[in-house]
Amino acid sequence: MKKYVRYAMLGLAIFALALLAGCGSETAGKGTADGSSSSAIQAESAPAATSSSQGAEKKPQKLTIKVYYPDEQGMKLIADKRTVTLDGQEKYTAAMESLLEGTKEKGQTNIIPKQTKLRSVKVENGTATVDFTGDLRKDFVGGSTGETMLVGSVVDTLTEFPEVKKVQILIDGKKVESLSGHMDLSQPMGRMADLLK
Amino acid sequence: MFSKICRGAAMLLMLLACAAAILPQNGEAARREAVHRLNYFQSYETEVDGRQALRIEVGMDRDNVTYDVTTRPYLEKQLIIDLSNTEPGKLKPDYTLLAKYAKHLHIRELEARHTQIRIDCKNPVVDGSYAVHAEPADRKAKKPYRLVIDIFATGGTASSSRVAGVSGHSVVIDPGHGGSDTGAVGPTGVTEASVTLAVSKDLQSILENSGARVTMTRNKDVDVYGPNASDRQELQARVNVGEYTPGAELFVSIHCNAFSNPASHGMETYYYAGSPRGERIATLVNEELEKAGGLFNRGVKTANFYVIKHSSMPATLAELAFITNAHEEQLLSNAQYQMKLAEAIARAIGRYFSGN
Repeated sequence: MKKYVRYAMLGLAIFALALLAGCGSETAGKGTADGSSSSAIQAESAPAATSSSQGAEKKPQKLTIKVYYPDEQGMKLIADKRTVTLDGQEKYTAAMESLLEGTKEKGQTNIIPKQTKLRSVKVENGTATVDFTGDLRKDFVGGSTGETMLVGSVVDTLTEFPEVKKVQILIDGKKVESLSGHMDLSQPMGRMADLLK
Repeated sequence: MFSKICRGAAMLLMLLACAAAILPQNGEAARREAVHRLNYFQSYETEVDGRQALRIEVGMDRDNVTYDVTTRPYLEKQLIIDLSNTEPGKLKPDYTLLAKYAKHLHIRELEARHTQIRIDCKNPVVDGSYAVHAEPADRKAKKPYRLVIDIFATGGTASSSRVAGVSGHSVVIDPGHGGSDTGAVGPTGVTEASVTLAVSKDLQSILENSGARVTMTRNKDVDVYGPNASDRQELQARVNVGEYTPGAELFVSIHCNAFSNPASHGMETYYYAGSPRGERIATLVNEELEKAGGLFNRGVKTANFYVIKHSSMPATLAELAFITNAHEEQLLSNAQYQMKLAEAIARAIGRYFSGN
């Protein structure tokens, strides 16, 4: 009797794994196909699969995202497509942490100061509230272009998830009025599409 | 008769009461700082550091006077010296001066113990065209402690350039950053705040010289709101300068750009989306800066920038060049290049008002 149970469990686990694998490949496939936000939608169904297969191995979820970095001239933002592993954290957190890792790609520039860390990201009623440590401002180069590109890279990376319409930036938990004295950041910012053309 | 005496007595009592109320304060003020009384005046032509000058000496009975010099450089061509805690004393209200330097000198007590000396000069009153300093009493020459005012016949760093189309118009110039905020800093340490101020002052000279009224959000290295203000307070204070200037027609904010990649370079101008007149001035400034400055043109852009968003009048923000780019930092710190850019912006403003 015990043996049957064990076999049944094993079967279930295999089934769950297969499901997961399917999901993963589908995500990757879609991500490359149209390149845009579909990956985000796929990712949402992934945690559900994890919970149904609790007994089995907790396999980390893979997710394809786009993070944005300015070009060398600070004229445009360039999408950097990455596959991140969701290790229990939310996809928004994963995307922001990936952005903060920086880029080594040719033709792309890091604008967010290296020491900057993510405190939290929350999405509520279509607005993502992203909270950074004070380092964001401390070693920031400034300038209209610097400020536009920094804010643009955060806003456009988060609004890549279709359910995120606006982004409010916080530093150490407090609303930011401006980063270097140009932009009005007191209101949540919508997608900065003109930086992507 | 009796009632008259009564009324007189009552008046006297009231006067006494008033005097009693005022006197102690006066006494206190006097103890804090003695009043200076002017008692000496002389003007003569002389040579100062090898330059021909009119020297005016205004003496007084005590030393260490606190004075403040301001100018109305172009339209009125006035040099104004405000003396705190000073009375005109023995001096006449008006003096006629040597016409090749200045027409008149006026002395007025504007408020109690606040005396102003105003000189109507012949030439524009700009840095280098005048000098003011205090000198201690000279017993041999029988001269008391005095202010020495030199007005030079020629010289000064005045821009002689003029532009068409701005006469009678009112423009607000906003030199970006300043005070506790240096703005962006270049590789050799040139600060954005110093460059924006220099270019803005040049621009002010040209516009005033051409008959425009100019209001500056700042005319020295200071915060507009005050040190340690929030970003919003500081930026709103700049907007307010424009909003509270009656008849102001245009808001022009001057900035230098910065980016983490030192290769980034060029000039660009901004307006707030949805403002056709903002777009017009941003376009004209962009065209003129490209012609005069010769830098890579990054374009006319819209942005969510505070000062152009919250100004109710047409507004533009110009990014002259990248201070984080070594070559452009050098250009930005060059006085001749600064003047060239100021002339370009002035021409753009002239075109804006004359519609071509």
